Amino acid sequence: MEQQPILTVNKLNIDVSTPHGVTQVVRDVSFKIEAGKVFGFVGESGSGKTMTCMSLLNLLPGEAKVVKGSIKFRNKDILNCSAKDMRKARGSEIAMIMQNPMTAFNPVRTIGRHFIETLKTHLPITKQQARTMAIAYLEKADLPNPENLLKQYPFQLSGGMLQRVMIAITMSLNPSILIADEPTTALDATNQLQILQQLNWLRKEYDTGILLVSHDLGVIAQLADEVAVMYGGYIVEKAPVFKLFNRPMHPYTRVLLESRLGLTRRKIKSVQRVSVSSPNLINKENTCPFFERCEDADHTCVNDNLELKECEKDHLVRCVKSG
Amino acid sequence: MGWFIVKRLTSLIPILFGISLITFILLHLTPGDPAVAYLRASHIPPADETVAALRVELGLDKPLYVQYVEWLGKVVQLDLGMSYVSKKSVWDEIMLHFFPTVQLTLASCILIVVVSLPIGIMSAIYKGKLIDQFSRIIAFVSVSMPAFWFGFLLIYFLSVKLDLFPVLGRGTFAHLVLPSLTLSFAYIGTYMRLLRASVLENLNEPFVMYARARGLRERLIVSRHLLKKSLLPLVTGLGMSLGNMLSGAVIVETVFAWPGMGQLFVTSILTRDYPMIQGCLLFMGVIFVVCNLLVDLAYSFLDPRIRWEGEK
Repeated sequence: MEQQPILTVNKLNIDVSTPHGVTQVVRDVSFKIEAGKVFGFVGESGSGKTMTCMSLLNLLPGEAKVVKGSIKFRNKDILNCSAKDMRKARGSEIAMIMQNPMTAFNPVRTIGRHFIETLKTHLPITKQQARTMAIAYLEKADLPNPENLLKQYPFQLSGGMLQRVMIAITMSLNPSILIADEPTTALDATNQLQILQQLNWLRKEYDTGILLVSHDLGVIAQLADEVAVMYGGYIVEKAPVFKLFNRPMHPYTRVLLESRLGLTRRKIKSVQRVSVSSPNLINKENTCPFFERCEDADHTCVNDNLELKECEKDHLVRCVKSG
Repeated sequence: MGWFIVKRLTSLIPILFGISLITFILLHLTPGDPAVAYLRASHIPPADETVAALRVELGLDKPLYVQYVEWLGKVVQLDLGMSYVSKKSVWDEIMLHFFPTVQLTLASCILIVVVSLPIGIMSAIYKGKLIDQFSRIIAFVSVSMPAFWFGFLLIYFLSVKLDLFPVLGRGTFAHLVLPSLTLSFAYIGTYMRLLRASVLENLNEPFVMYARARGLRERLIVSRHLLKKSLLPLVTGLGMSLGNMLSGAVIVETVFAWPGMGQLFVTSILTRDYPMIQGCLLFMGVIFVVCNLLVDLAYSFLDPRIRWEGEK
């Protein structure tokens, strides 16, 4: 029996206007997030991961615009609901934890103020009740001495602690979806593990659906149930995590996996082959975005047919050569 | 916090000492004999014998360092000497002129804050919109219009034509309106744009994004998150301007015949009233130092990072 997805993104296209023309940063992106499941996004910088995340909260920067597609949260149409409804949903229904915990908090406000203002925005409670709640949730996030923590300023805490404070704030409002945009990138290895454990606990305890964005395949492998590999704004491959790691189909996914293995084995060759520059996303219709960097590219790759195809059950690939 | 203030106050002592030394030396480096100036101010012809006698009387025949130590000893007791012109105590004269200046400064500061704060924030939030364009024009006009001209324009239209405010002098509240308007006008444009830039810079910070992602109301984000952080560069500027205004806005005070520090200082220079010049200089120096201290305190109040460093 299939579970009803909480969040459904269908054929999302986002354009960004730049001085050099319109860039299509997200193209034809579709995915679903179910309760208690972790959906992973992998891809290099500029592949459209963060833009996709921002669009889920309807918080795209001014120069970016959704030009096509829909985002459905339960029965709500995110892209067309009122500003007020959207604001109320942020934090309480769709929460986000930021990439760099050191800059996500206002340096001139205490942790307590951040926590309490969030609770008071969404719940009809007094400041004192909010404080009690904040302490309880900080404790749940394994943070020592929460009363004292509330009085401290962000610069007095470490990145790992701040990240856990963000998780505590998220937990306190019990959202159905959590967007974690590179939650571990700015942290050291020990903290990374703790944060991942906490996210895992969060989805088990509260049945929260998590969108986990990372460029680190290790992070994805640990937590995600399903993975989408992004390249040049497209999802180039989407599969359950084991299928993707065991049988990568898209050439880019293979390069990505090999580059990881390359560090321990001798397969450095293919990593070097891939040029460092990111693809130019302006006016490149009908060509595979990975064309310039692909080992197997030939004339068949210039093709109108760039759809995601199902090669095996639940395993989708956007490559003319697959399947 | 208390410890921070004590630390800052003790660090003022060498600065004040330096100010006193520099004002004393500067004045003795300028050409002209104070004794001659004294006699001229008293309408006595400066004959050689009178000058020599006066030099002994004023202590000008002693070596410079002795003069300095004697002067400093008196300064510590707030005795800045006697004006050559009015023959009154310099300290009393300064106090007499300082109060009107304080009055003018406070009124101007209130105007600056009340006008530039909301417009500055609005023009950042509605960047490129009507209010932003409007504030750009105001800023341009305010920075490029000389105070004496703007002052006279105000007098001409508001006092002479419309008879709303008195033309000159000091007395009622109505007297205060035009001078403080003139004095604050130049600052308003600057601070408006400064605040706009500061808010714009902070608007792109991740903490604003995170505040939005937590569903906070936009009004709350502006008033609690943006405002306090954006005020920091403004405080520095305002502290400096405060020093400037308190040591006398010469032009504005002249235009409106406002009996403040600026007038006192300029008159004393014109009449070569040495003790008065020296007293004014020292007083202004102290004012600036105190304003700087206030800025530091305001900073540590606004930014906890500085407060913690101070207590380390």
